Amino acid sequence: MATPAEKLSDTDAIADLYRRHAGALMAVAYRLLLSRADAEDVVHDLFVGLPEALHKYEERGSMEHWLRKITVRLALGRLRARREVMLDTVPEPVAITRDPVARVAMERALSALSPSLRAVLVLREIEGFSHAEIATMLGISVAASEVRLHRALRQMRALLSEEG
Amino acid sequence: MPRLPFWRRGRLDDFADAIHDELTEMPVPPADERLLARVLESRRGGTRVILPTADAARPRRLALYMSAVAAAAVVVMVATRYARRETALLDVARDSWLIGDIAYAQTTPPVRPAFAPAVASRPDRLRPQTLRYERRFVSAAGISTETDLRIELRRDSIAGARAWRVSAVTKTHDGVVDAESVWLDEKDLRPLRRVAEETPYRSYERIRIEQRLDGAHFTGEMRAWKAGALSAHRTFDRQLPSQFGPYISDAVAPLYHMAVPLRAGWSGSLSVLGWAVRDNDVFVSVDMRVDGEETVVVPAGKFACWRLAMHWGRGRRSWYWVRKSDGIGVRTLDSSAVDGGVRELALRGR
Repeated sequence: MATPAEKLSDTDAIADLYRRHAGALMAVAYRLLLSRADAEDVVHDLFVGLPEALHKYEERGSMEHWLRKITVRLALGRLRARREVMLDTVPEPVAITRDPVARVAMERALSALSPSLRAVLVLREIEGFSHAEIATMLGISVAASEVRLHRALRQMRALLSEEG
Repeated sequence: MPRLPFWRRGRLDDFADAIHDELTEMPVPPADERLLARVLESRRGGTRVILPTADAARPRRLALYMSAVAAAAVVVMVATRYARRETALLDVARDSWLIGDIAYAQTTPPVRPAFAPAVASRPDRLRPQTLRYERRFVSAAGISTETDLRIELRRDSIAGARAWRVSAVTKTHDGVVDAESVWLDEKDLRPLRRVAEETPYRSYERIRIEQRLDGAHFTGEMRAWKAGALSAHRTFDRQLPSQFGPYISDAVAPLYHMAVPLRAGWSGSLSVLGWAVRDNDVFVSVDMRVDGEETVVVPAGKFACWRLAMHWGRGRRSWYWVRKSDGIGVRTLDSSAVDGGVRELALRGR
């Protein structure tokens, strides 16, 4: 029986995996980076490197969880490397599905957090990772992860109170 | 659970619950077929990416402490040396799109332009677009380094006036990011404002240069950060000599000839702005002359181009190919640097 890596040797297999998982992975990357271009670069790099990386996937646990962890690592690496140069912020072209005022306020508050606080908030509250997993991914202690989440929520509450 | 008083913990938990739906339903861009096509194209082109592992073990505390002690020792050894070198290193500009290694290229006083000003007579020909280039440097020892460059041209406004904004971002394989945004007067493509950043920069986490141009009045400031705190700051206030105009920013270079129609025998001079923090990095005057027509093959395709011979600095010479159909810069080639390296830029796509 073919291993996952062998299955990914042809483009159809990559395309199949992409169509199954890329949407969720794009969401993870975008929420961490708040940039469509950067999120697309992360997903691109992930799927370009996937055939070789699959040799390390031991088929323990769900593949999506494994892919999400790698996506988070790629996004965090990009987050550390980049900085803003624009004087103004260009809104990302995404569809509005809920109350636009609330959406804008939420995005603005999220983007106002420091990258280290935003990462913990996104990973815990949206992606559902445990503090132990977050601590491993960020290279911090579990207690530090908990404290960062507390600070992130406190700042979000203050920012959204100002908006309101 | 967070080590917090229960009443504060409870209130924050309530808040977390309250925003949970908004957070999770915050719209995100789709992973579309266009991105899949890019992935498959990269694979077909031989691109490979080494991914991080999903579960990297946290560093052991002992190893961490030993690393910290070793790092501290290194810091103590090099700190004095760096303190002496810092001022000299601070203003070295990075490679230019148009003329390769720009650092300290300017002669003092600058060489007078050989040709009439390369005036942007057709700014109406500019169109919003994104261009991607690959930059290759082959050292004298034959070691090749490649980086990507993305340039975006967008309509914008600044101080209430209509303007073009050009943004250029270069990311190297070792994590250095060069970025520049410049705002141009829509009428004549005169630069109005410019922001350039490099991260990291030498011993700094990042350096940021902000420039304002009001006619010939050229002002700005440089800031550099270490450990999250501002560590170096300088301002400058200069006058740009009119005989060296027009002045362009490096990010604008590949787009500039959209507004400067070329023909056989055309010649013109312009100046590329530097960071301007130090006196010999304010601008570089470049003389350009169409000396032929060639069909050029680059990753983006095969294009009929004007070939321009460029002369600048002290005896430097490079080549520049501009697409006939729209004036977009397609390729540059510079082998005249004193380091013996060859610098090449080629259009990769849109």
